[in-house]
Amino acid sequence: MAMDYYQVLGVERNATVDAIKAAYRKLARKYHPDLNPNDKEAKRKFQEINEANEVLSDPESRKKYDKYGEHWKHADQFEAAEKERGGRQGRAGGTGGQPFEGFGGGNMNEEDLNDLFGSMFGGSGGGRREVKFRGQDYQAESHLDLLDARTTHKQTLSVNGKQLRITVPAGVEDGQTIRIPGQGGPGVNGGPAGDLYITFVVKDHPRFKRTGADLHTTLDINLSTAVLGGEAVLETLDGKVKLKVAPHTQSGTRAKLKGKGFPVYKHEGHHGDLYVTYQVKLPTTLTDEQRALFEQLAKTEPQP
Amino acid sequence: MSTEPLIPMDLYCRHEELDITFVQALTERGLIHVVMQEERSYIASDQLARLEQLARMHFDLDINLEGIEAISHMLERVDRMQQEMRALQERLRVYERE
Repeated sequence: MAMDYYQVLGVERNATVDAIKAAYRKLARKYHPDLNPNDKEAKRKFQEINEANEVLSDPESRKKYDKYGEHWKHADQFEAAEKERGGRQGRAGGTGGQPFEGFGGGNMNEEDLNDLFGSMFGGSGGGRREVKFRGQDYQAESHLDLLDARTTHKQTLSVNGKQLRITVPAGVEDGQTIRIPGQGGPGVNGGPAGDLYITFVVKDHPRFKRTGADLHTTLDINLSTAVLGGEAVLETLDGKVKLKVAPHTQSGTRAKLKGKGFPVYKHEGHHGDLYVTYQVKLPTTLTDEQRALFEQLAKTEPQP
Repeated sequence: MSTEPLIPMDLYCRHEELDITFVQALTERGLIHVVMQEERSYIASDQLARLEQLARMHFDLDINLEGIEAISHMLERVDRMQQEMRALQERLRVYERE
């Protein structure tokens, strides 16, 4: 649904330029992304306010908006068509008159436009010329698990009642948007169709955190492995790998597994790295034998 | 000590058509860090995004320097709280899985 720029800024239709500017600044101070970090809703709202301000603060654009409403961007085409029609009528000895009569002084809705096209192009006779308009852009969301986003795969999306099969390239990021040309709304009078914008929402993985193409995970190791060194098994997204733990490994030590991270978007064969943070697990229960050994150890340890 | 490339403040202001006294005022309030070398002021390139943000607040949103100062402190707090919230959410997720 098209937005009403006056409503977005909360001003009357006859508001002065200064009133529009003041309303914009007031709302911008509330919703500007600089003042609302990581707030998607504020960002969306600010984009609306900005769009409304850009149109209404420019007298030319505002005039077009007042006359043609949401279709104001096509005003030049309307007017060219009007001239064309007026010219032909003149030559044919027609009565002339205002081609847009009845539409002035208010926003035109879809019906008005259809009527307008009907009156402009619906008649018979030669020299018929159509004004083409590009269709509306569509927005869609695709939800993926981290594991799905690892491989290039096909996905079927339902967009405005139409089933669409798309290829999702490996390595797409959460929040990334791709454009599929020509899959938006149909054009008017044979104009090109709009585009489809798909935003990917990649769900978090319980064990792996992703930053770009790098993955981060934690691995529990027991106290003796941390102190003496040894081996530990890590489950990566590709399966299990054996890691060599160096002696005296502290809790929080990070190891890098080169190339074991996430595929790099549109760089086939390239992968990020996998970072493993060791967490030393201290025993919560001890056998008598273990307790005796710890006590023996305690005697040899210097006080920190 | 910053190892970011340094940009002469006067050149930057001229290029960006930015009032140099505005940048000086931000510096005096500790909102932007400049480096002095041989009596010339330089801005580290990692400060540019912040400077642009503060300039937008002042020139686009009509916020005066006192307002910018207050907002900057609050934004730092918001940032810290968001980080803390994210960390807590991650920890909560671990407990929810168990």
